[in-house]
Amino acid sequence: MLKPRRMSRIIIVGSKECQEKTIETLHGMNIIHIVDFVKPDGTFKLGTPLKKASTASEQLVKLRSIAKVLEVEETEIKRMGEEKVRENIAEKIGTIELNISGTGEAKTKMDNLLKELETKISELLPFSGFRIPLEAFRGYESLAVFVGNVGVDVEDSIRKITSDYELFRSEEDERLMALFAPKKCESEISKALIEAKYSEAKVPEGRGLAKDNLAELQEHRKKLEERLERTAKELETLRKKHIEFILACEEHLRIEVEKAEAPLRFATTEHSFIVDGWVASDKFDRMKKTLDKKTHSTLHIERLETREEPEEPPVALSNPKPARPFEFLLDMFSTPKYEEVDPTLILMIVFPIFFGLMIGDAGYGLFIMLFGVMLRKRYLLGVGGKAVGNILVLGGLFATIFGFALFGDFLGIPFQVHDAEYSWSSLLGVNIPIVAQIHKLEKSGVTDLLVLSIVAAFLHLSIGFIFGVVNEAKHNKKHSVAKIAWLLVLIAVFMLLIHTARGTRIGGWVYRNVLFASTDWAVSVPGLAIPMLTIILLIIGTVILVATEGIMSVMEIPSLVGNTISYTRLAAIGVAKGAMALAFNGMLLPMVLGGSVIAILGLVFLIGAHLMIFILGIISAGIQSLRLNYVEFFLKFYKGGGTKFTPFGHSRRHTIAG
Amino acid sequence: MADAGLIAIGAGIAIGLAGIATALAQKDIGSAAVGAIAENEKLFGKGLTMMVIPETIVIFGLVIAYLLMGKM
Repeated sequence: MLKPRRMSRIIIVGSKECQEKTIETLHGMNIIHIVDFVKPDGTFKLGTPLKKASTASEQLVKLRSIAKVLEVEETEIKRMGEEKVRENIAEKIGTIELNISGTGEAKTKMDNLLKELETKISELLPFSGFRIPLEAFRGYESLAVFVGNVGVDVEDSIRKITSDYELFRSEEDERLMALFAPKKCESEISKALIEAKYSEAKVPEGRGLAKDNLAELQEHRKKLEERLERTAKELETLRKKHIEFILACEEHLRIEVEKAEAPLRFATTEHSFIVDGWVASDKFDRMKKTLDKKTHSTLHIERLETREEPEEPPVALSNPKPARPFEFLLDMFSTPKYEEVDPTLILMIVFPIFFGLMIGDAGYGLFIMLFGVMLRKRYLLGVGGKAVGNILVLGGLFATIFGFALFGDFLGIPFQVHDAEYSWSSLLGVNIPIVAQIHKLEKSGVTDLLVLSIVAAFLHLSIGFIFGVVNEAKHNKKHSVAKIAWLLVLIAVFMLLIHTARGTRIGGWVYRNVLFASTDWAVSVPGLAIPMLTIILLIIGTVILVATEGIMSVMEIPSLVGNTISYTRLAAIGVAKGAMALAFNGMLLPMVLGGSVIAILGLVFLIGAHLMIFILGIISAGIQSLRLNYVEFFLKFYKGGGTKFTPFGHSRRHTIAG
Repeated sequence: MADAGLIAIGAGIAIGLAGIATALAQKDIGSAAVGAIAENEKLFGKGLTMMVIPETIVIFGLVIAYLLMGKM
């Protein structure tokens, strides 16, 4: 938690006889991150792949081409024991290959033929409007032929050049024309045509009327399509028959190749091999025990305590299970460095809270949770998966909580009447005793939300600076002190803002209970009272900043004010969404409650409108919440750029190891 | 008490112009970011971060508008 998992650098040395067994065991355990051996010298050489490598990769290539022809896609299948897959694997692959070879090739050929036909047809189509045979468009000695599209009527301008011409227009496409004129006028006519935005069209090959040609081709296409459909059906049957074997076998072979090619990453001598890698410190003992058991203690396994050259260990994040989906958000930004604080846990707490505050409606919150559950299993427009789904569920949960407890809203309709036309109590005729604490769409409510945003900003940014202090402490003491100075400046800004907002409900509470009215000692400039504490902290902070980060850092102090104000988007988006929902409800609810046919129409519109707010809400609240974390929070401490821990092994989906 | 109408217009201008400014800034960053993501999907996080930075401008506009409304 808050730190990536601790890693140990290990070295495994053994004789070549136990190489295969070692690879087998390590791959099965899936816990070692191998460091590739890249610098062969006189003593050590790169290893050579195991013998089974070439057969396995050959089979894999065959299988993949089969999968491509059959258009096999990743799906859930019943998992297959590896022994069963391994049995007669070459024969089985050969049989499938034979089965599909004729059909597959035929399909490819037909696909190509069909494409060619389509091109020919689309070329011919405009020409089917001419009553001139195709061969009449070419092969003249004394005539110039212009066939193409023109933007405007050209006949007048041609008549000025010569009266000895013939102009045809296509009945299919009125912009297409064919002009026959004496060769001697060719250049003049060209000029006139260019002015008329003439673009030349290619005359299709062939003889006879284009119309007849077209009919013939279309007949041909129809037949071909029918045949293609039959072939596709055949392939579909074959796919259904073989999909389980293909998926399982592909996975099995991929793993085999991975294992067989592992020695390419080892350093070897004539009779021994060396595996260099990282393993989680707490798993070292288990790994050693298992390896010793499998190879009868013939390996030398050592944990390197001191590192000769400072090399970054790979980073495996270690968080409690509910926080794991948020590792995905962190990875999307950048993997942390090994010595850095891992902010996933903060992300897990802050992201859903911000998301919930911006949505702030129990109805939408419930639907977002449902939507999240749905996305865990499937993808919508390329977005989805377990991580995204779980994040949405948590975000929706907070939106629901805030919707009930803070805003008293359900789908933009309050539970209790409060200046609004409609409320759930009046619509349902039952009194629902949920009272809004903050009325989003009133001036006092907006003020409350704005002050709440400032408090959120202060808390969030403070954590950021504290993480910054921790991160820099190991690195550079000076930078670490600078982060403390930034924290002082942040407190100064916060005091000023709260002092200014002490007349509001939340501002007043913070002023009395957190700052203990300590900001009363203030100097007053016209229109603003600046607490002395703010000035003192600002001076101390600035002095430290100049001493540690240089004079230019003073220029960045206003950007911290900007960061703080940036959090008011929490209020802004919440209010904007509330207003949208209110507007649609105000327009469409009278229609729905009016009865008759219009009510149905109104209901359809109402659902459409709420669906729009729902989608926009998820997108904007999601992105803005992410932004506050990525930009305002992360930039205070986060460096990133670590190497992700990728263990040697494979998580199986279709097979069972054996 | 200042003229409420003028204050309302001022608030409108503050948020409107800030919105246009944000849009102009995001237009360029957004197209560049999408281009970068098309080449390397790992840049999504960084692209998004860059993309949303100018959004603060419109938030400033909103805050100013809100403070102005307070004087009505």
